[in-house]
Amino acid sequence: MSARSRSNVPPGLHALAALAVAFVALPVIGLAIRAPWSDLGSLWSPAARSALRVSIVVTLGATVLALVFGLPAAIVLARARLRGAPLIRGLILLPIVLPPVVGGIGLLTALGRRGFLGRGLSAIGIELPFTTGAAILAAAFVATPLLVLAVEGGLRSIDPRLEQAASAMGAGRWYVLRRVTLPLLRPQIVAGVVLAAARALGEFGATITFAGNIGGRTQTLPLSVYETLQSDPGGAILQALLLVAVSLAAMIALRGRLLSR
Amino acid sequence: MSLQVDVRARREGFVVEAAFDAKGGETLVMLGPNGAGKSTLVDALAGLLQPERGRVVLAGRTLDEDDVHVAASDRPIGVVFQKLLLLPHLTVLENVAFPLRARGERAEAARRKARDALERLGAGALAEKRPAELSGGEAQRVALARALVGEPGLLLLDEPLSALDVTSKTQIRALLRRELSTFGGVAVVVTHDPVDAMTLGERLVLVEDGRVTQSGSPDEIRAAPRTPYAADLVGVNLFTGVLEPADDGTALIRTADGVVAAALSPGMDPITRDVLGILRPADVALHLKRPEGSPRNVFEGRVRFITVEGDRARVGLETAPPLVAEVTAASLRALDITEGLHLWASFKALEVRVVAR
Repeated sequence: MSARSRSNVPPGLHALAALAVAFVALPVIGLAIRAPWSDLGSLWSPAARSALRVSIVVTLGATVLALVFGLPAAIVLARARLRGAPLIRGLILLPIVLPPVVGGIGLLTALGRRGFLGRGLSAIGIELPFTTGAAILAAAFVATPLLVLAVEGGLRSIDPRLEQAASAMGAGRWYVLRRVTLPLLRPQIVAGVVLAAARALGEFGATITFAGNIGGRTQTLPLSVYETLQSDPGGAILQALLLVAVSLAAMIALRGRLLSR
Repeated sequence: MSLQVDVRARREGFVVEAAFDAKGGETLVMLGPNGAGKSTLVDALAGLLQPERGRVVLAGRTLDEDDVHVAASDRPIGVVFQKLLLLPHLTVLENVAFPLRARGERAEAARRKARDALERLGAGALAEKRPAELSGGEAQRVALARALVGEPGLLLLDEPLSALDVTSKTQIRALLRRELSTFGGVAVVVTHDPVDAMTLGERLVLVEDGRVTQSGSPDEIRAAPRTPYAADLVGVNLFTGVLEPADDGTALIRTADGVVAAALSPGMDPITRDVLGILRPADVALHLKRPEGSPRNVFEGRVRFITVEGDRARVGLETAPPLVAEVTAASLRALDITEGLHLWASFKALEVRVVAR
């Protein structure tokens, strides 16, 4: 139904909805009012450019990880009859509600130099903490559940009879997955990827805890905003607005895909 | 090529048991009311549902037995599902090529065969459309092409006519009859519509409430229906023939054996030529002498068989066309009807329901 068609929303709701929109929009408006627009060139300063570059690398890396691990996880969760599925789903979705800093500490205790896995990695010469790789892992940690959520929801809306029909036409399980399930899931996969990428771009707490705040290596845009705020509030606001613009574009690109069946 | 089935299958607490055989080239029609368990049996034959026990053997190959369960994807089957289940993201041509591609055939050859199958079923022009753009009849043709394209040993058709409007139903029925007559494997057609059942297959398996209650040719079931369902829906007189409109608003059905007067049903397309006349045995009256008055349909012949079921009796007559009458056991005794007796049978033109074939 188009937004312009006559709706049956009770009139009072419009006012409350307007308040909700205003509540979310206020900080954005605040940023826009306070931004030193004449100083726009500072976004192209070496420090800001380096943070932007790190952010792009981290976002792409984390999104690929989220897709590679999240897609199979979502399919198994939705389709396999697993014992303990609620527990497994709870674990996978946990980073959505966990304070990111907790995730960061967790990653540190597992993969840090003295972590139970990190020691082994350290022994074979792999040092994760305070590298771009660590920033990617931290972002993937918080981004993956969003992709799982989007894809699992999509899987539940696909008629399983279609997949059964495909197997009755001689298609093995992998063929069904490749030629039926994944193509039908495309809108939800796209939505999940956009959502995961946007979340990875905005990641702060887990990154600063696990990967630190090292310029050119782990300092992403959000970390740079935080740091710049001490010395150059105007510059920080401009960087913040850049994040707002990219994230808003991502959310608009979703175009309600998450809601559509 | 033959099919032997003796299975018990369960889905969501509902149990279906069935045993039947079929030969290659034969069309077996599974007829039963909605909810009788027919689709469950289709899924079991297709390999989508593992039977609780029993066996399915196709062309000497065991598909199900004890620990054996050949997956659906490894069975030489073609299925037209009740809801068709065309893949919405593929074009019609890709849908029809799917079974070939899934079994490893090269794209070029698969597309050529798919195109041929579509042409044969009168759907060649639809090749580049998406399933969502098809009418009911078109979608049915495509689903049929998809089921036949791989030349399966077993063809399963689940309610292939039930979702269609009258016009496309007639077309698809003719198409199905043509395809089934040349099909070399075993075809199993599932339907709840006795007219579809009797126009599509030579052998019926009646399924009621999860059980096979009777199987045999329509003639055999007509002679001695075992359940009220069989008697009401299959045990009717059928006149297969060509319609010839008469001047007085009635019509004549010219069958291979004789001519029957019928009343045209309201809304019936007057140019429909291939029809089926349906007459309930209870509407046939029996007389020892030529009846007085003016019923349009009067036939004479010898009694071929008598079957008594409770207080009802079925009397088969060697008339032209042959008739089955249902009378009370009391009137059977009153008229002293025995096999071989020469009788008269009459019924009103109004009692004959005419449907397009």
